[in-house]
Amino acid sequence: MSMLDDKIRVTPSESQRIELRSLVNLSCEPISHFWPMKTFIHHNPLHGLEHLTFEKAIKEGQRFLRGRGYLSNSHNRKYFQQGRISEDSINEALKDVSQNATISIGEREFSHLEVLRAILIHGNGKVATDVCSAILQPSLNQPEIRNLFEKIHDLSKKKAPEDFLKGHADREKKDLATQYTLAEWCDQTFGTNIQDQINGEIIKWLGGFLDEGHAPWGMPDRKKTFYSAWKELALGDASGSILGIQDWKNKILNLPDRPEDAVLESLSLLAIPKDLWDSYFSLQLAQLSGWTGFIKWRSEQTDYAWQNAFPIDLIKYMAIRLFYEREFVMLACQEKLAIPGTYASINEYLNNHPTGYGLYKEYRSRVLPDEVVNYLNISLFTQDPLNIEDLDKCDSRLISIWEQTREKQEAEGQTLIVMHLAQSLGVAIQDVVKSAPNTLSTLLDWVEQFPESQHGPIWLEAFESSYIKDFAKKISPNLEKLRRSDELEEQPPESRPLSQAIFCIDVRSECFRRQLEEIGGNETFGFAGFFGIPICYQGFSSEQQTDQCPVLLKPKHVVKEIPRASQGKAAEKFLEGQEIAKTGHTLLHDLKENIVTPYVMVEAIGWFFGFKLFGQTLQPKWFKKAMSWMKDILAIPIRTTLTVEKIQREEAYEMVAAKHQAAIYRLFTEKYDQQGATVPHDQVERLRKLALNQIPSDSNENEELFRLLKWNESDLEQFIVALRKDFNLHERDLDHQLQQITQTGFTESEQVNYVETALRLLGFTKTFARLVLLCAHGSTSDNNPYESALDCGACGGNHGISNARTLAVMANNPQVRQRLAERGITIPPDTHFLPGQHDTTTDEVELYDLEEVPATHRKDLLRLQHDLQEACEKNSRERLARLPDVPAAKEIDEASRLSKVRSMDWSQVRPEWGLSGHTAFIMGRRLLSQGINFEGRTFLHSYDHSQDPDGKYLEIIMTAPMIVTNWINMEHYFSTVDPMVYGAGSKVYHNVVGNIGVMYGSQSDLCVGLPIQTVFNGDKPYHEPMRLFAIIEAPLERIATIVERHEILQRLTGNRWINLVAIHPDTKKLFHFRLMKDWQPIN
Amino acid sequence: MSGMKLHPMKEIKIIIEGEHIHFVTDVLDRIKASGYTVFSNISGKGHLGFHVGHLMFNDTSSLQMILTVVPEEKLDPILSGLKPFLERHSGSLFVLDASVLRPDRFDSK
Repeated sequence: MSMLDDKIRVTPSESQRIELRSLVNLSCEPISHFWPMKTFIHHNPLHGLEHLTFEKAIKEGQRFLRGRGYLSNSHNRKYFQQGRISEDSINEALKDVSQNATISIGEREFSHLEVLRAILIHGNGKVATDVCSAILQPSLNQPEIRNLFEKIHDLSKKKAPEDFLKGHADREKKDLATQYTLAEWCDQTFGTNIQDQINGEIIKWLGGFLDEGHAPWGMPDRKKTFYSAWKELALGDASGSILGIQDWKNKILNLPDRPEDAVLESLSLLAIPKDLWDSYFSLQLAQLSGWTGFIKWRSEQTDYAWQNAFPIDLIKYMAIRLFYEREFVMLACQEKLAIPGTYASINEYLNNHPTGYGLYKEYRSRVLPDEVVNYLNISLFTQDPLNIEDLDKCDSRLISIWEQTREKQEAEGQTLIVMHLAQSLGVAIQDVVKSAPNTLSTLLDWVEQFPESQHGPIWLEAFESSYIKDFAKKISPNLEKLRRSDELEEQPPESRPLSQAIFCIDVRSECFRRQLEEIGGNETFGFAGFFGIPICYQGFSSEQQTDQCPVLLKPKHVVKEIPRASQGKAAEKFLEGQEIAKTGHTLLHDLKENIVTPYVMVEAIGWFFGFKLFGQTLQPKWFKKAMSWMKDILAIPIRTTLTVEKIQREEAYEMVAAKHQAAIYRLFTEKYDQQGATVPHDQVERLRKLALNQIPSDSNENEELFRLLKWNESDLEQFIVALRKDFNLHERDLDHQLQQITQTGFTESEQVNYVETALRLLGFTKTFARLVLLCAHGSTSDNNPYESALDCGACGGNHGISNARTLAVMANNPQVRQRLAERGITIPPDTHFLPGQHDTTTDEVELYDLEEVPATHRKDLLRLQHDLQEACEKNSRERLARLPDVPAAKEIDEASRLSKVRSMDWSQVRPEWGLSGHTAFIMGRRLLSQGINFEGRTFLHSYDHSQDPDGKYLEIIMTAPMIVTNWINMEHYFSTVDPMVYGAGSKVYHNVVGNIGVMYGSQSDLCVGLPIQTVFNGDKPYHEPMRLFAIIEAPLERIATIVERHEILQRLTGNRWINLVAIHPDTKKLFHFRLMKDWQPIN
Repeated sequence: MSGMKLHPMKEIKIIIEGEHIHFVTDVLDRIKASGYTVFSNISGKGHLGFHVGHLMFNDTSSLQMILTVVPEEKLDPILSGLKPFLERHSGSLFVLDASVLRPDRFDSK
């Protein structure tokens, strides 16, 4: 019975509970946050391990999450064969791991490095032990191979014998509760599937509890918190009993009320030593790292409506998880070993029966040789519980046979390795056999010390080194141009470009900017897509607000989209139409999800879904048009503006007062028709103040009202009650409305600061064109839960247009410009900032707030629109050529058509490549990168070191955009090297769950990372996984000083999560930042 | 003397990286500290050298200070909750004697 007797159950103190809670929360650090899919955030799945070196963190990731941290050796070898990785780079990467030693084979001498390189490039030739014999046997007819085998066999005989059998128990004692949970140990040892059973139960409860409006029927009792709701509902759940847990109901009833107490109880029943709790919690939390990552995220959101309504946190989750584990482990250990399912008893068992247990493990791994199996009674291995005493007493002769067989198998394996290595090094087998006695053992030691599992870091170093050398070559013509331009004693006078455009740093802007510039007359800049303005934005008619800034930041301002003043009537119609559309949508959704409708309504409404199905499948473009037409009928688009200006309290008060007065007139006309409309304004104001309790009700003062409307005291009272009840005209609402109005927008000083920071960050402080486009970006795709992963990362996975519109309003404000001029930035009066948005799937740029463009700029606008259209078509053609399943577009407008269809195709798993393929983040002047085709693989941030002598603006770039690009890079890196653990697997099997994420198939962990279609092209990685190269054009000392000032930068650079490269402003040479202030030149 | 009656309390100041702010506020909320104040983007010098606060676009990496005042009986549970954190992460913690005028404001049950 795994229940604590009430008498021995000790109630923990508050201090013990909170300490436990903290421990659980800290144990979740290796697991990263999981943001809901509607705002996909690219992040480092090992973010919590960034305090470790990249290599160590990968090992930890392997331990907890079972994730692979490097691209497979076979993929790397293909890169080597294709010339993407050079031999020189491999030599450099091997320098740190190779020794200063050589061996002679025949007449040739090989250094340790050469041998390691051969192993790396050609593999070590290791094959599974049980097939060695079959592979080697045919070759043994050749005398030199037989000699080689015998020589190796002799070597292994000379080695001191190891106690292989007892090794199993020794290893497992050490690894239990540190490398795997007790449940995993049971699964590995007995072949049970406890982990799956626990995960299955947990996912069932989590799926129901965490649902955010997706399920037609919500889980009951959610308000009681996750642990209490589970306790309540599990009582009636038969699955526990079905899975074999006896006395299920009583066990649930006997669980403590507090989750902390339940965790302590389970730990006590599992007898996990206190010094292992931390690691044990991490192992538990890592079992379903997607779900736990989401719980971790949600529990930290103080203003998240779903969390406030249905609270959940890691300790509640842990309480339930450990309960299932203790019960299932108890069952398995009782059945298989007749011992209690505790850490202590398993350890004791391993300690007391190392030989018998070793035999059992060898038998289960199917490596026990037939010579041994034939002499043993097989039932010893298969009976429940295991008769370990009989196995312990196994005949020592059998053990000796087994040891001999192992030696032979090992020698066969090593012979194959040497044969493979000889071929890789280009030496004859005879020469190896004839070489000095210790050559063979040295060679085998070198192979043993450099297993394939350690090749990953070497390949990565070599890949990165090859990349950066190629990059240096690629930009050298621009560096030369830059040198010549900087060396000119007198700079040529700057002429005003036809237009300027500020794009997001996103890699997809790189191609578009190049295409736009190549048309001529257009200058472009790169800036973080939130344009430096952290806002919380609410679109017109939207009920939700979005945080339009990187997740590193909390929004500091609220901006709302409102109809323009002239659009009052249209806005009302728009809202009515939208309401109808929303009601229709909800109705159809409810009908679709309802359990009864499929049986009774198919004939009646089935055709409607058929229209959608066939339209979207056969004629997506036509279907989209039809849908837009319907939308336009229901909700005519209206012209809007944003609440950028801060409204003073006095003005806000007047706005609310006017609204209140209108409400009073409405009530008057409803009740008294025309007579009501004639009530003078001062009396209406008086009524308003009475309703708001701002003045006392005085009979004398009320006389005028009584006379006009033939009222008495009771009529007045009733009227005021109606105002308060039906029109919310009371003090509380007044305060609420005032707060709503005054919290939005920016003061003039704030606007000046934001515009100045944006322009100075870019080094864009003079020579303004007549039109400056602020180009945000977003994407369009259909049936794509990952759509927000294609949107702007700097805007928290949203479209960035609201930020562009906000900055445009500020930069066009004459008062702001006047104050900017006082600070040294003079924007000419004829410069107009125009917001727009680049659709990265279709390449179209939509311009906003065109009504603000002065009439004098009509021709400039037309020309810009024409240039944008041309860039759009050219860019589509360039991008489509990189997509695998697109026929080459013959005509340029054909490419635009194809990309549009792609964005509407609901079966399209790859609407665009998104951010895949990126490798570098260049921070410097445009001249550095201008005209070079980086194939959409570089982030570009404008920065002019000469305008930032104290490094203030570089510090902002390095502590924000550079960190965000590092997150994006790590997300792509890990999704590529292990698409199933760190990535989301194939989209084909995805099922949306709870409106929060996707599961793989019908039940799984929440898929983290990116789908395989985003980073792979068939079975080849499209994204080349390497750590981002952050390349900064600035003095080396300035960069080093900034790194030194910030712990986060020290962590990222020192632990090698990012490659920091500087371009020396004077010499134009590239340097790689290694240790603090240690810059290595890149040749 | 003003003649005002003051009541003894404990003041706790914790300085940590912004990324971990929720960890600390969660401990304070669980122990029902009646309130706390968060000072964002603070600068100063410690044993690791000078820390500059002005991270314009990054709240998570800047240093933040949380200040709370609690009755003495809540001190031990709060410290128990913070102990595992400070064993793993950098940060500073100060406990001082404080006096308040209205003790009921600082003692939520």
